[in-house]
Amino acid sequence: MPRLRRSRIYLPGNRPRMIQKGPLLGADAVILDLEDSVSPEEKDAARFLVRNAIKSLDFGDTEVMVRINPVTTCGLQDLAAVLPAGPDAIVVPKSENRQGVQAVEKAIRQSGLSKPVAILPLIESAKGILNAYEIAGASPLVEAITFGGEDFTQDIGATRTREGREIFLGRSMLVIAAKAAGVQALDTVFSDFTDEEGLRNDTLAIKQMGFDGRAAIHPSQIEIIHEIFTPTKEEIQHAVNVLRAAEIARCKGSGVAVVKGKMLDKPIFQRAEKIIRIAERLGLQLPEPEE
Amino acid sequence: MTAPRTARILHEAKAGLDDRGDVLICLSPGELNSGIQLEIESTLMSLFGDQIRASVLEVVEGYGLNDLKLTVNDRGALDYAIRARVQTAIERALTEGE
Repeated sequence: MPRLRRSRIYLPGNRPRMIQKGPLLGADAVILDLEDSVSPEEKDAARFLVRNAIKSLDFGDTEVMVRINPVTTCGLQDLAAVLPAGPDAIVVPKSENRQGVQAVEKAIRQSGLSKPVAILPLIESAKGILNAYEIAGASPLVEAITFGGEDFTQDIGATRTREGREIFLGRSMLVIAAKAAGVQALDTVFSDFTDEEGLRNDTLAIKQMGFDGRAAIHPSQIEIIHEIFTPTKEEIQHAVNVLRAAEIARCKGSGVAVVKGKMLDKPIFQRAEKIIRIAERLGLQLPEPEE
Repeated sequence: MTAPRTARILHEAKAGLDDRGDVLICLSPGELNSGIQLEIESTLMSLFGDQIRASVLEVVEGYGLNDLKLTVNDRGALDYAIRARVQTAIERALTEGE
């Protein structure tokens, strides 16, 4: 099972004080950013800082991702600098085709690192969305594809709104492409970090759409994102009941089970298994099945 | 990229910010045979002055550099950040103006 990626927070790669807070924020992942938050004349400085931070700081269980620059600009220079430090994942921005992902895969393999490094393409253009399935399947190192809502909105000439109608189809296409390729779908940021209600509603909506997590732009957003992407007690109890019923049905040679008068079959079993896996990953206690 | 042993820098260079948790490094060429002239100002001088000095010198010596002036204006940077800023300043001094 891939890592739990309910939340991932962007930290500017040239700001030591913010990087150092990373392990304390409680996010599932931090993204040390070498791209948009670093000015062109400071890219060299950020590479040294990010490399040393990964080597020296204890990030504990937090997944350490690095967002490089596009491989069509100075992304390969970024990789040469940070890969020897051993990040957990590389976020590849402006991904529009399989070639960009494969260039990153080649650099990872040539780095000779013994630890696994995941690739997370960031899809943020109309062309990228249309090629999302190709991108998701471009390398066995791709564990998730991620959506960049702000750049996508600009690319299609739309206006970003609180409700997100303009990105609905892009989000849906990304989820479908991810699931078809067998990888996670991770969503964009909710930009207004003062709007807790907006974040909550938007995150509930994307969870229902099939996303596995989303990015945070401010530490205050992490708790709400986790609350929504963490199974509730009731969901866990239901999943335990479903899997128990599935086991009984299997013993009887049936593919269909019944829980509280509802017929259940394979997709429901799979959803229950996913909830149990997340609960176990989070160290949550599993209840006994109800009669 | 690491410079060959006993290399000299030819240009001035800066790295880092005068910002809390960061350190500002200014590097310039020194006279021939002047060695490494290091000046440190830190908000935590009494506690970490020796450690800052040792880290800076280790990075400079790792590049095999000599005959340079280096000023360090520390605002509470951690060791990894100090080393990164010194590395950046050296790389800039070795490459800028080429």
